[in-house]
Amino acid sequence: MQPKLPVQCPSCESSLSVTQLSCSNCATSVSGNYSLPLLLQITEEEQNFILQFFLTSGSLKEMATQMGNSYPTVRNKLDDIINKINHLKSKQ
Amino acid sequence: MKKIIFNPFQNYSEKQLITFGILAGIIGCLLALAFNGRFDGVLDLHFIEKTSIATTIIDLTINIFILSALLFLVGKLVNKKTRLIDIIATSLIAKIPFYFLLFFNINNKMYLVTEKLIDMVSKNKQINIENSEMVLLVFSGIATFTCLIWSIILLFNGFKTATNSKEAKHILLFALAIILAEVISKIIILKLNY
Repeated sequence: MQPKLPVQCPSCESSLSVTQLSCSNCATSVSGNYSLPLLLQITEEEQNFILQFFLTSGSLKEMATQMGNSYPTVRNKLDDIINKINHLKSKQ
Repeated sequence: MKKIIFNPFQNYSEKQLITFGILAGIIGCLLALAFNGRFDGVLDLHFIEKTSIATTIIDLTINIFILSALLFLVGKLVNKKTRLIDIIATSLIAKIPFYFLLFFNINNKMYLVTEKLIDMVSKNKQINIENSEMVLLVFSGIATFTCLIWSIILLFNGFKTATNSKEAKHILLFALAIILAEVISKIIILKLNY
């Protein structure tokens, strides 16, 4: 099972940041305080949606067919993700 | 199953919904002709002595046109990306519950019972109806209420999917559009008197 990258604090629900990165080859580690990229701050489901959008060359109709949803359902989902990303961008 | 009955707009394409809605509409018109029903308002169904195929088709066309026009207008206010095709599909599908109610007027039974009741009330006579007629009135009342709620749920879910509405003021606008559509369609059908 691929472990999920936690993006929200399980205690207070604030956004988490990266404080340590390490090399799996030589065990070198780098410490600091790096905020997560925008696309990693959204849920895995939303990330998969964006990936599918990219893989279908941005065709919502094709996505709707692949997902077994109607066109407005897919478009609404995209609009919700756009709003969420805009909100995250404005917070940065 | 619950999704198909109350919110088919989420999964089915506009082409599937419109095709199904038109087919159901044709069946609805034929049933209205067979059982003398009139769709004389967006949320209305009345039984008359004798109807014609032209009347039922014009009734249904006016209903779908008025409802779609007003919901589309409100939909555009809520979300500029609202498509007319999704609203038309919503109006067509939301009419389906009313077609089931037509079966209450087999052999003009419902029409005759209501006429009898109106006659008794208007002439201040004592209300005297048979048990079978009472059963019919009670069952048709429950079914009418159920189908009306079902139709409004379908309208709301279709509108919500077409417009991505989430705010309370959007629900208010939706309700206003439905009430206005009912009033306008009623006036047009009365004025045209076809």
